[in-house]
Amino acid sequence: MSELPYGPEDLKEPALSGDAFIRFLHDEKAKKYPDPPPLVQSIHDGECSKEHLKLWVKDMYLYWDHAMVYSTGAIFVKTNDEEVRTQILRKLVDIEGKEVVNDLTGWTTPAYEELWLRFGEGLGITRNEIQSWKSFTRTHYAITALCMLSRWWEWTWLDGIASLYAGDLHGRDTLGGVGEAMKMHYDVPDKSLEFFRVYQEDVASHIPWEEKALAHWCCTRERQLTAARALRKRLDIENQLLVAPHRAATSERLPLQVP
Amino acid sequence: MITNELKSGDRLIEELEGYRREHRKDFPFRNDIGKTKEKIIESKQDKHAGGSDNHRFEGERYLNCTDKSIRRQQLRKLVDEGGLDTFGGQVPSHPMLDRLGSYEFGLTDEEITRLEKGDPSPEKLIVRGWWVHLNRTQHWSIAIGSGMVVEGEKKVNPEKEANDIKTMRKEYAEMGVKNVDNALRFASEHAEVDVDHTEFNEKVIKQFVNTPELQYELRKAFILRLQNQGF
Repeated sequence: MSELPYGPEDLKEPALSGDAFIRFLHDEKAKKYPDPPPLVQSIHDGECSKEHLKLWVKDMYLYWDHAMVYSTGAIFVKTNDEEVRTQILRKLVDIEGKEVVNDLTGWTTPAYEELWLRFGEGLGITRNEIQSWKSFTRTHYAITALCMLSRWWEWTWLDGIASLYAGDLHGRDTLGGVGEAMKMHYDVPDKSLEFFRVYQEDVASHIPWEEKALAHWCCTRERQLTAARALRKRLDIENQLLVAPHRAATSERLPLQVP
Repeated sequence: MITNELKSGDRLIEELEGYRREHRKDFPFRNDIGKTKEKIIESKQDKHAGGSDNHRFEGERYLNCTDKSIRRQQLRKLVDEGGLDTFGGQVPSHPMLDRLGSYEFGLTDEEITRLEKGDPSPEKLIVRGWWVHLNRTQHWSIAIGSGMVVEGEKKVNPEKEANDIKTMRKEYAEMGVKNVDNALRFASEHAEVDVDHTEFNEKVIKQFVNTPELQYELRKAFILRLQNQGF
């Protein structure tokens, strides 16, 4: 957000084609984070203790309850292209619960935050424990940064689409096997794992339009450079969200929490 | 657990300093003492990565301030940190002071520009995001008052500050740094000007952070800013 602006030298190359740009974004992601976050790896392997798993669930609640809603809504506000904006609207309904449009569709799926609470209950945590948790400071910084970049002028609407894309790619890759791992290693009942099924289905439906929008609208070198930067930042933020719960599991003391 | 107990300005500042003392037991204020040359170069590279954000958060405070007299003092602070040399003074801007220090450790203009155009570290990204957000969205008295955390560090223990600079001067010379004055100019300038600035921060707290709600927000901002180290 305080980077020096791109100059003539940075912008002299022509823009990549749409397909090449999407490949470039994937390369950026692979270069920046070639391996799964350590916390996720330990969950997949069944090596994360249940106690630390519970910490992760409590600490991530604010993300599903607030950060996803606010940061996605903030990009919606900035988007003047109706086709893309409509897709973001669909995404907001996914996040807030498809039951919002029950009268039109008959859908009954609740909000991600509600599904996350049910997942927590499956692990033996009460709703009150989850909702009254004081976030790790690192998580608080990461969530605030995401909301700030999304809401204010630091990111354009198109940077915002790159952020949504990064969030979905990251979520698809990191949460993909977590539901299975819960059954296999942690005895979480199937009925508590609806979050993972719903989320993966939703993400799979959003990635294609995000790619299409980025390939089409990032048609200048500068738009491509800033969108790629936003994608990297969102990946940084997502990965930072997983650091404190991992530190809690691997250090002697609990990481700092918000007062 | 922080409270919203309404206190006099002096007592509130005393309470905030108590938070600082507690936090510093586990997370001492960082500087370059005892670091190898390689580590100093790394920390300078990290400092340049993603550019300088001083104008962003100080500028947000200026924009939001509704008291003319304080706003103009804040403008003067923008001048102090944005370059006294613009107005015939001797001190260049903070980003330039940073560059001068980095040149002495072998960083080139090209490398610094490349770093400042590039991404900050993930940790720096989230701390900055939080910090700019706070300065943009909180009441201006909280934003200015929270400057006490870093700038006030020099006021708490000025002797230590002077001794640290002396120690760094010796260590830099032993590392073969040619122009130690330039290498330490950022730290030396700050040792003096930060004391003035923190007096300004405290003045704003005493005059304007005068409701239970504002005092609660300042306590929270102060602690979260302290936690920039150690999170």
